[in-house]
Amino acid sequence: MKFIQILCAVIFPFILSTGLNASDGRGLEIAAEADNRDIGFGDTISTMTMTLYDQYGNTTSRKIRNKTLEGTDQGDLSLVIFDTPADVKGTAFLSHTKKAGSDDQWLYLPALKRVKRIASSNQAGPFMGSEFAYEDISSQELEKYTYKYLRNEDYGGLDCFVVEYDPVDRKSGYSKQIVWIDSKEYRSHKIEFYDRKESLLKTLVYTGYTKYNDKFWRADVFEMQNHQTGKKTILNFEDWEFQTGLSAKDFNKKSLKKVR
Amino acid sequence: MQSLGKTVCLCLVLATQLNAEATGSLEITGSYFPKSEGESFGTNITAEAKVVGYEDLSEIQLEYELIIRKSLNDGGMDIIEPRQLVLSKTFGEIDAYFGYRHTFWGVAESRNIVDLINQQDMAAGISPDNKLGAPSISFETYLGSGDFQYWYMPRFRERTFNEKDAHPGFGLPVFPAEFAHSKGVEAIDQALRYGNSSGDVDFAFSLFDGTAREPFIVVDSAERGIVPFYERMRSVGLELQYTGESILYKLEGLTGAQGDENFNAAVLGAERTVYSILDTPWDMGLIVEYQYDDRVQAQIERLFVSGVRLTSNDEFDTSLLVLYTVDDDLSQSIFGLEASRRLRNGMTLDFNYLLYQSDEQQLPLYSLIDDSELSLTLGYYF
Repeated sequence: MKFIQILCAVIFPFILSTGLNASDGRGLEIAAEADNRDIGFGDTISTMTMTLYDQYGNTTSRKIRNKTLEGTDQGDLSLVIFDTPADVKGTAFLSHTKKAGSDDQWLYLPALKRVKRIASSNQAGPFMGSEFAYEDISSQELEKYTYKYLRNEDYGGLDCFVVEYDPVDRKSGYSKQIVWIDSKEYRSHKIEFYDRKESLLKTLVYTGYTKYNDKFWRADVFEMQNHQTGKKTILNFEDWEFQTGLSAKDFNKKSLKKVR
Repeated sequence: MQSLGKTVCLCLVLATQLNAEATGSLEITGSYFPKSEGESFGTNITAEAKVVGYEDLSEIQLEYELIIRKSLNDGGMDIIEPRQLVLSKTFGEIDAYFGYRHTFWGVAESRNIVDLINQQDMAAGISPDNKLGAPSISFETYLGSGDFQYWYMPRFRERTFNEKDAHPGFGLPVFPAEFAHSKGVEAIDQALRYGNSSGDVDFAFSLFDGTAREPFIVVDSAERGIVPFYERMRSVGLELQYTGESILYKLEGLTGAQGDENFNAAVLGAERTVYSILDTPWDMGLIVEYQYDDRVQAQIERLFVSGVRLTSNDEFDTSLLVLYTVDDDLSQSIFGLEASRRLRNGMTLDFNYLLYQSDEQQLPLYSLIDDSELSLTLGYYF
């Protein structure tokens, strides 16, 4: 069930939100601008299919529904509901993200009718057997990285900033991340993840960007390739809805028990 | 075997009739009792089907969780159970529920002494996850940021028991229950609970006034059978949990009176998680709990529980839980092992091992030694 804890982040599709304690003025500027451009989304509802590919091409998939409420003083609130595998259908995960410190997280186990407060997840651990780590998909805050602007480079026909994100937390599974952000819309297009031994571990590619409400960009597909194991995971997002009228009441323990 | 087959067929028919909002499962369990003696059987097969659904009937909602279980050798396990069959309606900030309802109170892992709403379906096994639906009218609302519940339960449900020669069995038939309250099962039970969170602490207080869920077991004067006797109980419950980054501290307390006797019970524990052990995807949880219960029904006043939970974080949700429970004299114990894995989408496999140990014949767990059990469950979810 641990995989559940991750998805909360999937709800915050922009893995690349940003950074505050930058060691490089331009790197911080770029990260902060990418973050600013997503402010005001209000709330979102989406569905997601996660497909796992092993090194032999065998696949397994899961279906998940996501609800997110944008935070103001505190971080975002999110609710993740699992529709498949069938044996965990109805399991739900509630997360109150904090800008500093550990998130508050609760798990709802429908067979037991039990709401269980759980410890903050292991950020470097794999999510639900996927190639995504918890830290890849959890809500990102500026303070979590320092930033170095590296260069401008063409990627997919777009002029992109290439910025190095260095995790502040020593418990991170990465030594650094190299991120490609287009200079026009400040969307993330590719991230290379380097392990603690400085070797290239994984590459994440975002495709199928759509603009919602004339402002908010969301990628339909996240493809994470693990170069060291040959496995990959693809997340396909659908049915994005913005500003649906969700409120904090939809993200408390009582609402968790009423999930359908 | 024929009726077991019919149960399976009925379940499959039910499965084909499910609407889009309903799901179901069918579990087949094979059990082996390696220390079985006397007239008790050495093996058993059980089939259990469950249909879970939700219907939105305009302003009223219907939730149901119906269970059918059939055992090859133990009629005590046979049941058709509405664990949930409840109508709900929202009045402003208040949710009202009417019907058979299932809920959970508590924070601990090995035992939940404050979880007093539902009766135990003990014939299905010693796991506290096996519960019977509570016939009730209940209300829930948010007071501030906390959850407030009131329960009115007009009909008591008796605990289920295995047959006399089953595992575990009393060796004598179970006679109709007796009650301290003159109205028996029709005596009214009521309960209140308020739960909230403050930072890293979750807490709840509860009040209960009703028939005790756990009976005294009395052998009738002619020793022809056993009679469950249910006392009346008034109690105050407390739940506390502190949640750290990798450690949980938990406390459940229950104090009150049962008949003319005051009692106290508590479960105190901690669970620490070590992530990515030996640089593998496996996480390891270390569990320690202490149980205290001075009620007569508890039979053992003090128990220490220690255990390890391993979770693989793989796509199969592979997990292993080992728990060792021992009394304060180290003279009787229960060793439990649970392993589970998803074989593929919609199909799971569970392995369970339960071993009772005691050196002294007069101790409660001695009589359960021949009920030590190995079981394998194949689950199909649709």
